[in-house]
Amino acid sequence: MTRWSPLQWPVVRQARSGDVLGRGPAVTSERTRSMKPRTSTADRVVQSVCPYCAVGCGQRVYVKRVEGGEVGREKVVQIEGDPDSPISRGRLCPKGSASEQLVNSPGRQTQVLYRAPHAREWQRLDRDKAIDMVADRFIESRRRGWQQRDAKGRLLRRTMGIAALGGATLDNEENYLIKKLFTAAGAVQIENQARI
Amino acid sequence: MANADCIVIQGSNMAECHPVGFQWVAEAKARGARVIHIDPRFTRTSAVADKHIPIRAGSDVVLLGALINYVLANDLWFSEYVIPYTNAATLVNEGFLDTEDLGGLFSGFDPDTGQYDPTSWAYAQHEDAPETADGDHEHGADASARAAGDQHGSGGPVLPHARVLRDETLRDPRTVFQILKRHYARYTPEMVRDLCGVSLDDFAYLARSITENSGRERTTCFAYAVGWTQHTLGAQFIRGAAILQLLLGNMGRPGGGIMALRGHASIQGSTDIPTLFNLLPGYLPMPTAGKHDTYSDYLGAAASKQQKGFWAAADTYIVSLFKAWWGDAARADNDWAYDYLPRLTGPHGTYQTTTAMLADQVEGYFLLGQNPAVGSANGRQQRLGMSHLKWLVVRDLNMIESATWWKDGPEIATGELATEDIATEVFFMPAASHVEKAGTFTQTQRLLQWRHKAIDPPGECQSELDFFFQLGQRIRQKLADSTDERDRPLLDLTWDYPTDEEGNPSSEAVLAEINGYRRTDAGGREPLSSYTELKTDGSTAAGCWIYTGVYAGGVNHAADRLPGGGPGRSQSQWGWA
Repeated sequence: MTRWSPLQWPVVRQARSGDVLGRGPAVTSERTRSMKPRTSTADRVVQSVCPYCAVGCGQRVYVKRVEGGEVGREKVVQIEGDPDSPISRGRLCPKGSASEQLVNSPGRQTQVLYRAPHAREWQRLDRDKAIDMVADRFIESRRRGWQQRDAKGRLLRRTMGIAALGGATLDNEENYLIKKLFTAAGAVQIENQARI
Repeated sequence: MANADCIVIQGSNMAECHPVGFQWVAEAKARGARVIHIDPRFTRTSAVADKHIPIRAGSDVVLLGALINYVLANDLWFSEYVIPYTNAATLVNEGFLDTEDLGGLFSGFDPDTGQYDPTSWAYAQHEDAPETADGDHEHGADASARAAGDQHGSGGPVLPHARVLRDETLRDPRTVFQILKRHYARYTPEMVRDLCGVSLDDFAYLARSITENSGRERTTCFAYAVGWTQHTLGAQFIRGAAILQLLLGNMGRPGGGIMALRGHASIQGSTDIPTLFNLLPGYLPMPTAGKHDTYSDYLGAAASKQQKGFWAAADTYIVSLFKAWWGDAARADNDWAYDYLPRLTGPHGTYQTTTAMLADQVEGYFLLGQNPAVGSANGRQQRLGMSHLKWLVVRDLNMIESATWWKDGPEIATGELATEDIATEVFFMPAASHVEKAGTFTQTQRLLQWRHKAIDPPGECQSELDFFFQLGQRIRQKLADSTDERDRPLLDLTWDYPTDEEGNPSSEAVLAEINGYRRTDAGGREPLSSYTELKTDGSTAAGCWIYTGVYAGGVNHAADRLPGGGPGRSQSQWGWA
C-alpha cells in the first residue's frame, strides 16, 4: 500500500478519473486492476473438440508452461469455445465450458493401482508391469475360454473368456485398434454405450 | 436445422441437453420457422417452442402413425419425390398379409420364437429375376439374435437384387404405397386423442404445421433423443418418422431430415468403427456360425452383385478390410483370411455377457470409459457379475464405482459380499483426457473432427491407443513362438504403426490405415480418396470403407480448419464428412 493521500478520497478520485457516478475505474480495487484473464497467460493455443455430447463443438485449449516444476511440463489453464467452428460458432454449454475442470480435476487418478485377489486395499503397481500382467491374463483366459467348433462341427474360432465394454467416449483410432485386436484374438464380447 | 420451416422436437429436451446445437433451431425460429415440442414434460425446450404438445409416454408410434394417415388420406404426399426416390411403387409378394387380415399379426409369425419369418414380405420379382437362395430371408429370431438391423447403419439393408416389379401409378393394391394406406387407416385423430392424450385441435395443428411446411419450397425437420430410443418400440418410432418424412419429401433436402441427438462425443464413431459384437467396421456383419460358414456364404449375404447402390461393391470393402488387418497373410487362395474371423452364435451383448459372468464363463473384462456398476441397468447384477471375474481392467480418468465395488459397493455394505471372499484381481489404469491425445471424434452428423494433442498425460495416465497398442505388442511377443493355428490371426495382424520415442503409436498412421491405401510397385502406400477405388484383387487395403477419403492425398482432412468451414454453403472445409 502506498501512503494515504487526500487524492485517494473517493469523491476526488471520481472527479479526477471522470467516473462521475463512481461505478467504474474510480472504485476498482488494486486486486481488480491487477487481474488478467487466464487465457492471456497461455503460451500457446491448441484446437480441440468438446469431449461430452455428440454435437461436436470446437474448443480452444490454452496451454501454459509450468515454471519451476519438472522441465518441459505444461498445463491447461483454460478451455474456451472456438469461434471458427461452423458447428458451435464459439459457444460452449455450461458442461463444455467447464471441461478445463475435467482435465485438471483434483479427483483425477494418475497412478496405476492393483487390487490382489481377496485384498482389502489397493497397492501401487508399475504401469509396465501392469500391462505385462494383463497380457499374461489375456492369453491365459483366451485359451481357457476357447471354442474351436460348435456341437454341429461348424467353425467358431473364438474365445468367450474375455469381454470389453466402452468406446463411445474414445477416439475412432482407439476403437479401431480395440476391435482389431479383439477380433484377431477371437474375443467377440465387445460392446459400448451405443447399444445400452 | 437452420434451414427448416418447421421443426418437431419429440422425445428430447434439446434446449437444455444440446444447447449449442439448439442455436440452429433458434436461428430457424428467428427466420420464421415454427417449432413444436412434443414431450410428456414441459421443459425449457417447451418454453421457447411455438407450441408444447404433451403426450402420454411411449405412445409416439400412434401419433406418428396418425400423421402418416393424415398425409395419405388427404393426398398431401410429395408425388415427384415419392415415386422416383422411395419404394412406394414397388410390389410386395401376394403372400403378404397385414394385421387387419390376421387379427393383429403380420403374415409369417412364428409362435414358438415370438418372431416373424419375413419371407412373405419380400418384393414381387420379375420372372427373369435371378434365382435367390432360400437363405435370403433370415428368420426374425436369427436376425434379432445377431442384431442384424445395425447393418443398416450406412445406407439401408442389403437386397438380393434390383429386379423387382413396380407400378408407378401406385394403384395396384400390392404396392408398398397401397399397403401403407390400408395399414395406417386405423390411426385416426380420435385414436390419438384416446391413446396419446393429444386433443383433436392439437393434432390438427401439428398435422397442418408439418404438411404446410413440406413440399417443393419448404421442409420440416424432426429431432429426437433418448425419449424415442429408450422405449422398447424405439426403432418403430424412428421408422414411423422415416416413413412420414419420405412421404413428405423431407429427406436429403436442406432443412429436412430426422436428427438423432446423440449423447457421447464419438458414439457415432464407435458404431461406424464398432466396439460392438455384431459388426465389423463400416457396417459389415460379423460372421454367424450356420449362416456365414464359408467365405462365399458371407459374400453372398453381404454383397449381392444383382442389387443397386453401393452395397453391390461390398466385396471390395470386405477384401480391403482383411488386407488392412492381415496384410500379406490375406490372399486370394485363403479367401483373404476369412477364417481368421471368430463366429457369432447368437447375441453377445453386454447383458448376455453379464449373465455369462455370473455363470463363471467370462474370466477377464475391460472397462473403457464406461461405468456399468452405476451406469447400466441393474447395477447390482453388474457388480455381482464382476465379482465372478478372475480379472478386471478399469480404465478411466477418475476412480469410479466399477473399480471399487469390491470394497465399498452396496453389496459390501449389506454383507451380501465380503471383500476378503472376492477373488477378482482389479487393475485400475488411469486414462488420458481429450486434450492429452490426438485423434478423431465422429459427431452426431457423422462429421469427423481431429483433436490436436495439447499436453502430455500426467503421471501414468495413458490413452487407449497407447495401452492397446502396447498390450497387442506384448501378447504378440509372448505368442511369437507359437505353432498353434489359433494364434495365426494375432501373429499375422498388421501391428507395425510408427511410434514416437516413448514407443507410442501415431494416431495419424492409424487414421491413414482406416482411410485405406493402394500398394505401389515400390512397396509404398498411396492413400485412397474414395471407397469406389477399393478393389477385390488385394491391391487395396482400408480399415473402414465409409471413412475412405478422410486421408485423401495423404492429408488429414479431419483436421481441416478453415474458419466457418470455408466460404461455400456446404462449409465442407471444417473436419471431414
